[in-house]
Amino acid sequence: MHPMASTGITDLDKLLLGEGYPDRSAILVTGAPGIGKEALCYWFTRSGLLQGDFCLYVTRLATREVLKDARAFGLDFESRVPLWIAREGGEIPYDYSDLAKLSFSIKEVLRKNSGRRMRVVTDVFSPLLLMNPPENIFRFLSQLTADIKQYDAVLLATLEDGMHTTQVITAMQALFDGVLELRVYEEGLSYVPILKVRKMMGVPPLPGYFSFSFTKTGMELGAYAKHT
Amino acid sequence: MLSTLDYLNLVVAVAVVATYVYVAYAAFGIRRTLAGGVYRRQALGVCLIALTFAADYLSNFLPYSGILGFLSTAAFYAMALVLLYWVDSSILASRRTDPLFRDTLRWNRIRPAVWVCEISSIIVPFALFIYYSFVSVATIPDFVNNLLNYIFAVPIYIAALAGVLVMPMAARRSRDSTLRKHLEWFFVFIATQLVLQGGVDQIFFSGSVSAYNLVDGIALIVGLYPLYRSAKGLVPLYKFDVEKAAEMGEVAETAQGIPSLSYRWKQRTK
Repeated sequence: MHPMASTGITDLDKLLLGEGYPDRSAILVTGAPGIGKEALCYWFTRSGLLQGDFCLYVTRLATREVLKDARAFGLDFESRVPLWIAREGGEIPYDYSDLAKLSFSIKEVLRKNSGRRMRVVTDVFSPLLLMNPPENIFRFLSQLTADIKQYDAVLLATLEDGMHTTQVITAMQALFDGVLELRVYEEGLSYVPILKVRKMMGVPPLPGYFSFSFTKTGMELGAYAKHT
Repeated sequence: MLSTLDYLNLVVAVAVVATYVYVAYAAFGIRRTLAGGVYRRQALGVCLIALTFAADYLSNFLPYSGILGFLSTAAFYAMALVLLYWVDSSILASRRTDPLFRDTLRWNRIRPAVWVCEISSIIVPFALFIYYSFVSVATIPDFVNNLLNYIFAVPIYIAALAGVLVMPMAARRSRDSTLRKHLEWFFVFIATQLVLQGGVDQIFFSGSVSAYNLVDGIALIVGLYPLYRSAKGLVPLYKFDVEKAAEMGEVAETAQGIPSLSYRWKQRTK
């Protein structure tokens, strides 16, 4: 059994004590639309595919849109592709109004691949929270994280800033084992994108704020304000 | 000898250029922090809008013929182009934050056609302008002149029409409060320009070029704040308070990369 799952980004792996996300954990990435949450998903998926892990990508977009986005970050999934639950073009169709079916589909995929190491990546929580009562989504998520822990899997999910109330975001963060926060800070006349690890299962609290930028080879992190 | 109105125009022109360049700089700075293509294009759109509105205003002071007339026309069409560029990217960004991911009025399908119309409606008057200004020695025939009068502003109408028809619906469907705020401020900016530049100056000041230009400049100064808020509303911005972070145990008192200018100033003056 592997203790950690590489994030696919060397700098982020180093930050998380050199190895990546803890195994059998659910990680949430929060941030404003367009800040780069999806890029973390793409790198994580690609890293899994390269290592021979089974990858499930659950998206509210069409697969071609995800692939196009990923290409913009220098990632090509042409040769190795994840299994898709997507609005269009996926093996399993995504329907925001049928949570039971979505939950069942994910559970079935996990069960069928239970002998393998798995990665589940999703961007559906924000639309699901907007289209369903939050309590239903919290139940759905609790069930999903229980499944993740049962199998040798890691869940990476994104949540949009500015689309939910603070209470909903706090409740969602509490349900995950790890939370990464991406924000833009104003510094005088300039603007700095900052990553903060709010919490991470099995990793001691990581004080510090890290400026980041995306390149064709991944994400570069730099100490912005850190414990000295 | 310059009149008082000319001096006022000079002051307003300097103020417009300085402030709009700053807004463009702010929008470009935010663009650099974004990773998503659609959102980067939207931020670039705001940056270019600030620059082209300022350039179009400055072109009021240029003559309408020869190479300077060419530049003046180019500034006007550049403004129309970047306005459509911003409208297009904003509609696509709104779609991204619509939980149902709806394609408002089938924008994804019709946008190539809209761009073709926009570019052709710029090429035709430009080609006529270049032909009669630089190639042909003949004066512009009346029918061409009439045609130019009709089609001159078509590119800006196309951009405006796309914005008026599709944008409100796309914005309503989006659930991103940041994007909505950005669009609201941008709407205030455009409304001030339409009322002042497209109405007040034409109705009351069309007789005097200096007064007309002054009203246009004042219109841009009035629109500055909404455009600035719109640029800064492209993404939620946070202020880093190192003292608070140190209290929370998130950074040491001697944190590296201390961000805010005010903090640095406070430290220096302690």
